[in-house]
Amino acid sequence: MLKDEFQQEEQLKIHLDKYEVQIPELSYQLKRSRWQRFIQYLASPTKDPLEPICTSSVGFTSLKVVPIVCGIFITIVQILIQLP
Amino acid sequence: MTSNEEWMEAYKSGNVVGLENLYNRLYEPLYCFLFRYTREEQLSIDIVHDTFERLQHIKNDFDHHKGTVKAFLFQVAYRLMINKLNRRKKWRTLFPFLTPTPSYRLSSDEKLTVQQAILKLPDKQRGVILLAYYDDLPQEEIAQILSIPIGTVKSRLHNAMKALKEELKEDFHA
Repeated sequence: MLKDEFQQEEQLKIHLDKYEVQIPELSYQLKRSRWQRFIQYLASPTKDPLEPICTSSVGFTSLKVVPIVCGIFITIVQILIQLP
Repeated sequence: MTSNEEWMEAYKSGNVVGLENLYNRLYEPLYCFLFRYTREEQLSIDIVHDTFERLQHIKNDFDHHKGTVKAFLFQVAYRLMINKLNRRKKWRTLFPFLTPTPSYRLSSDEKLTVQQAILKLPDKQRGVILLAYYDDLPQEEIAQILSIPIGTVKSRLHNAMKALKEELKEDFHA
């Protein structure tokens, strides 16, 4: 048995023995359906992808300015397309 | 007392009580192994159930000359778990911002240290140490479950023990 390898490692054994697992009542009802898993995935907290931008004042300002610039750019492109 | 192998043979010949008994005997060790490996309760529960569902389809693949039912089930569970984890890793690489923040259960400091140390081990070493220590499985069965040569089991176990001792070094002297 490989467990014999641990005979020499008393300290390690003490630590490993402390790792107990609480076993939940397992029944087939506990298994979640695909839909439930999908909903849980959608509802689980995630990292904010814009967090690094929002934390600096320059980033925060650019976050407000960029949509305006994009809007102006799209308007100009549309005007130029309309021109004869 | 009827052994797992006898219940498996009974189940193969159509006795559903065999599967019921196997489930009652083996879901605990299976869940503990999966939970210690992943530290995720729901994922572990799902894999336990997937394993028993899979068993119903591949029951005829079991041959008691090749190994025990426990090793057979653990092998199925281990493969399912690795597939799920790999698939999840791929999705997280594609959409890193959609990665859920882990919600580990907090427990006593001492326990947490061991849990963290085990979780920090490379995947290949973690499986070996969990199966060797907590499930007390022989080298041949661990090799079968992890689909690795027998010699590799021992070397991985030694490396895992070394890494764990290194990780828990401070607690040893405390």
